[in-house]
Amino acid sequence: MEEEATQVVVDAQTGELKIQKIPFTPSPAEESDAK
Amino acid sequence: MIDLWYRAGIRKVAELRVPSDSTLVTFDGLNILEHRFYLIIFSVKNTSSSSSDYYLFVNGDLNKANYYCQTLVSSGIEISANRYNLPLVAYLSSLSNALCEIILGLDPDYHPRYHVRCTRYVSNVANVLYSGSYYAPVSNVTRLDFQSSATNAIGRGSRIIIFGAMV
Repeated sequence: MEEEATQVVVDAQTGELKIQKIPFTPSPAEESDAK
Repeated sequence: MIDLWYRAGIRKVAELRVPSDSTLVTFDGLNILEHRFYLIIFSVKNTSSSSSDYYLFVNGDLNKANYYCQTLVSSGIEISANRYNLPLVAYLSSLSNALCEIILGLDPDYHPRYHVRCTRYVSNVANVLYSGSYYAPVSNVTRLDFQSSATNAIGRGSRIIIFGAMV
């Protein structure tokens, strides 16, 4: 199910920072000690 | 250690202290041909209520199927290994932290490759190694994306520092 998520964009040339909302479909990881 | 890096010509290219819980952190305007390779400190906390994978994508290709990685995990007396069709650089259960050193470079045929040395958790501290590759050669690496598989699991206060060669 799609959720609203946050994206931070950094311009490595100028150091400019931009924060925006993006659609995102999460896939929470299974509890695992193997990764 | 940092002093030795500076003497060797390694300089900071970009740095971010994550200002709010985020799912995707994008660094644009990079140039791996100029910087030779990237040494990345990925200090991450999972402030979400879900466990999460953490992925590193190159050049804006967020299709996980285009990446491969091998893991080697030692936790207590247990050692486990696996291969995934994912660009894994870390994994965290809910409300836990990790510190990862990532080396990203191009092999002689210009396939992006990385390896990661990661320590996570506190009393049950684990040591994790990841080696990964991208399926195709590239002409450069100009963008890197860090993504959590759970929503906004790159917690506020996480830190990403990218170093490269400036010689």
